[in-house]
Amino acid sequence: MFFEIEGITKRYGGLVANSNVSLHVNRHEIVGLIGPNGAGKSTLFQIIDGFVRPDSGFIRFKDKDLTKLPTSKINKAGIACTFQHAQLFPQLDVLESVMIGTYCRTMNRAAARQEAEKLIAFTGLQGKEGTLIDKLTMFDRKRVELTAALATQPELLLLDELFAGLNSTEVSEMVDLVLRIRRELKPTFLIIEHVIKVIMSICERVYVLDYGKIIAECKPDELSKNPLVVKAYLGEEYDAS
Amino acid sequence: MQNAKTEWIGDWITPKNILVCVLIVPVLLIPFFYKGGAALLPMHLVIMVASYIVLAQTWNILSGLTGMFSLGHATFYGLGGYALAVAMVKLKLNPLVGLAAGIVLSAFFGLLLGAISSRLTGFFFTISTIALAQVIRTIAMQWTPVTNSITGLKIFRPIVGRVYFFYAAIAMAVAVSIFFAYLRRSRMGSMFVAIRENIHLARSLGVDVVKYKTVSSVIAAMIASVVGSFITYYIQVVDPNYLSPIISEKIIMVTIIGGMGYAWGPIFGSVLILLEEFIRGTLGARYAPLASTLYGIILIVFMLFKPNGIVSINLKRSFAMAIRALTPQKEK
Repeated sequence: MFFEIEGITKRYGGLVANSNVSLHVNRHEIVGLIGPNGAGKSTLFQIIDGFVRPDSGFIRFKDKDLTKLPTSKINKAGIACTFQHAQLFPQLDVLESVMIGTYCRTMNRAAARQEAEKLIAFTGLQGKEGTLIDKLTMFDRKRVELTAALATQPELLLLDELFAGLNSTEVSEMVDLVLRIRRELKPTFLIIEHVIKVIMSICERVYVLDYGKIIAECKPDELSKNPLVVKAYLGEEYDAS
Repeated sequence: MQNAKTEWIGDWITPKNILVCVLIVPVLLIPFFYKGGAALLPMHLVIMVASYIVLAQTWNILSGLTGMFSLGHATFYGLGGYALAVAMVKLKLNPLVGLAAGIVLSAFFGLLLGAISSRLTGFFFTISTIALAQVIRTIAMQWTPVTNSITGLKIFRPIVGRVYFFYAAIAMAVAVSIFFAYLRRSRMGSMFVAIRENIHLARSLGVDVVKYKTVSSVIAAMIASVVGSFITYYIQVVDPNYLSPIISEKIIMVTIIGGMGYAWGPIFGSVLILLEEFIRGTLGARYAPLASTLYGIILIVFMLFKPNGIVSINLKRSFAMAIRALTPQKEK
């Protein structure tokens, strides 16, 4: 199995953020993780990325147990992520921000820089290499965050609401970028998203999380036919068309 | 902050930097300008300023680059001083052995600080640096058989011309400043800055935060220790004042006023050390502590108007503004 979560449970006092969550992602797949606010999606990502330790359960990546590894080792194992609220290096420029990622794969400064410049061009940020993060638009910030994550050469990319806060044109451009990344760099994706349009257009499979539990696993076009998903997330008024 | 787009050597060759380098040349010629004993005071001042440049650069690595805000940096300076003095006075060893012992001892405490920083961050780390400094200072004051308590240790060494200390101090300041600039442009420097800027993102991009924080504090501790040994050998005495919070405060102030995180910051800021000597010379030693008050006022002014320090002052724009202000405006 490429990536597998088995029986993950995380409690904060009396609150159960994740309850016996199990899911898997096959190589080169784009899998969505949806659910209402507070369903435990971001907690699950934090657990996968090593920021939060689960109370029980296992995370396996290419048959290696990642459950107790620190975040930096999880990245080195081949998993990178973007955060719900774009996390960046505010006082660094775009090039150096991306180079932090490439540096984790090479000791050589020239090679790191060359790789970073290549990725910056790939994600459409060329010409902004010297711009400080503070001066960028939200769209560009999200792209920098994604580029820095790509710079670590991940095999599995976790995208936490990458499309949130973008206008419809930017969402379309970001969808194109994600599909281009998949086509050319061939990583696998696990995506948390609220923009259903994005889920429908890029995901091959979707898990639905509600109150910390997986309530459904289906293809995107089957979401609206699942009464549990409609009740918990989409709402009775949801129109699939 | 610095731009990684340009390579570090190319980035350094700017009109501003060349101007500063040219201004440094007369300083190098001080021993030739003054005859006899007249050169001693200016040389002493330059030695002290150069030492503070090195100390401030080391604090700049720890706090300016890596974001580990330490309020106890004098610890490493004092450890270097005491290691040299104990080796020479109590153990009758070669001063180089004392220097090496100081480096090793400081490296150990640097490691300890790195270990602390893996558990404590921000304000809590800062408090722990004060605690560590206080522990070391108390040991220096109470372990009388070894440290001679508050009297300290007096070193007897062969007579060495002050001019040697003068050039050695300048060489040290230049070397450590270049090292800082190189470090900032290196892979390791980028890792340090990534930790300072966003520790969570740094972790998620594969930066081994504990390792780099430890490396940063060990480098800073080892170099600061060398300055402590150097100054002890030069002044021929070490006492608990070497471990005083006042030293740590001065190191922090000169770096912040000069420009934290920049190689030029400590160089510009350390000139402020002269203020204390100036007051001592003009008003008498009794008024020397007045310098601390002035440092505080200068620090507040910079925090309010130029939080990035002297390095952030745009000379060209300031000059143009001054010219504009002095030029009579034609009435319309």
